[in-house]
Amino acid sequence: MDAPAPLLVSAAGLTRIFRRGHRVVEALREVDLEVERGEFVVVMGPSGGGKSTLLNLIGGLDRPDSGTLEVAGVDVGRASQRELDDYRRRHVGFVFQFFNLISTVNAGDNVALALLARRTPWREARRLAGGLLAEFGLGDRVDHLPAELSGGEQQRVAIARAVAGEPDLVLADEPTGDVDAATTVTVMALLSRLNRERGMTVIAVTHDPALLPYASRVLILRDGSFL
Amino acid sequence: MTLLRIGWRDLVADRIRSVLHIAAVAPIVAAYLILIAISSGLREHTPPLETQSIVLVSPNALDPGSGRLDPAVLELAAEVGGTDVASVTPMIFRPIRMDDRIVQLRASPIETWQTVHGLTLLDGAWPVLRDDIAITEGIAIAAGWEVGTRAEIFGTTFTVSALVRAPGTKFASVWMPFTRAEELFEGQSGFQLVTVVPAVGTDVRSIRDRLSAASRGEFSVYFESDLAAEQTARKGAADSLAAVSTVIGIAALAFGGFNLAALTLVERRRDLGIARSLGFPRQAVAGVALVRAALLAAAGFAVGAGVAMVVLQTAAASTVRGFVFEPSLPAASWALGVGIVASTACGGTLLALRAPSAVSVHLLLDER
Repeated sequence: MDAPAPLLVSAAGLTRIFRRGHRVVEALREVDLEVERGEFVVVMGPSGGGKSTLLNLIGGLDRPDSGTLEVAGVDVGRASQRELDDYRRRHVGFVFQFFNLISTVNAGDNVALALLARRTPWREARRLAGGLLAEFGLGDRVDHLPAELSGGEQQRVAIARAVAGEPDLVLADEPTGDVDAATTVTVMALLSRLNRERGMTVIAVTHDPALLPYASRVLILRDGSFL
Repeated sequence: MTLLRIGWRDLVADRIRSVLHIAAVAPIVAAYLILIAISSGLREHTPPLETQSIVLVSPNALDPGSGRLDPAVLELAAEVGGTDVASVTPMIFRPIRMDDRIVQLRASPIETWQTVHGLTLLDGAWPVLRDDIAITEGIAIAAGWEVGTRAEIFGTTFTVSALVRAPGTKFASVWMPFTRAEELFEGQSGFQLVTVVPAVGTDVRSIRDRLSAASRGEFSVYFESDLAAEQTARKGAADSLAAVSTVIGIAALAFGGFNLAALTLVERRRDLGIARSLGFPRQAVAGVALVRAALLAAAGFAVGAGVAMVVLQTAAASTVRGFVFEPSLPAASWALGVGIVASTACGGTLLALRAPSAVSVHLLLDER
């Protein structure tokens, strides 16, 4: 059996334009990017530089206006809606700045949802979610609602949800943007461990230099282009 | 099953919003059911119109009960009508007070109750004993009386032996044999109406004209249907009221259910985005949303129906524009209500899902 191709992300000429009224904003301008499996890539740059747009495109949450984008063998740029759903389900885990946990369900169910999306039976999903949260030091928080957790705990739940389905790629959008310095260390150490021990590829976008020591490669994105 | 479980857990977890949603649906459902019950009650209990008989009353009497006819009118009517007339029947017609209620007392020979006045026995037995009376549906509904009820008339206690159905203006009245009424009023009352029933196949208009010519101002001659004209107008008004009630009820239920379902989902657009980012396909998200909507609609309908039943029980009989009626909820109205609630909840949900489905998932995640 062949080993998986080392190249996980391959983007060429990636462009995304937003139109707001008469104003046209070129968020990404013909960006080229290649990421190998197992890399921990940190994309830095000022706000509005196109970092989140790039992550949204790689994650299949948005579509490019032009260019090609292939991730884990999936032509994300041209995939149908159904194929994108399947792509997100099987290959990608998201970590957002504001956690994006569903506020009405507890931590265990938030993590279990990612497994339910992969058609894991309910009991099994709950069991796996509980185990993962315990591994992340949240064993006693499984039944807590997001509002009952600290920012750092919420972000760890979000990371647990992102990696629950064993994705090839973890996309983190300002993962430490809404937590204090001590929690930043905890969150980044966790992502780094997942990258190291489970071989998960991580692409994190941030304007926080505190993330740089964890990166295997750093890219600077400004005004929609890599420097 | 997973969709049902997720939908249920979401509702339980978000219980305040769920309760508020149910609290918003329930009054709409209750209003619909109450309006429909009133509407159905009005339709079901609106009495049929009078038959084509001729009535003789005191001349220029605004209220037939205030007049008094000369006994000779009976003989005159029979003589003028001749073989064209099947029967000539006197009736004592008096408004009386019974248990603090003003009701119509009608007294005529008991053998004419069915043949001349069109009464139909619904329950009990025709009066046999000296102090037996019959009551019509309208009285039963308004006063809550039934067969066996005892009521006082002019200082004498009477027993309801029969519940009857009576057409037209007789819909809400108490019936007593003629001789017993004469005895009760000690001959002071005389009689207020004479009903002339034309023989089959005769020219009714000719009989009326002959009676008018012979009256010499001692009595007025009407078709019974003329007396029913006002009743017809009232029936029309009641029908209009019923129709308006039905339309308002259905419209409130439809718009209310639709908007609530849509609004609830619009407020959860970010959660929809989260679900989509996890890889849940649109169909699965729609499935959960529909399950939620269905559960909320069912709960709202159940609570609303409970409220409506309590209201309808406490106001079992009502009077609208002179018609006494009992609210009723036919099975079709229940089915229609359930159908409207279910379809509008699902319709509102699907409409609310259309916009999120059309935009990129990241835009949903940006919503706060």
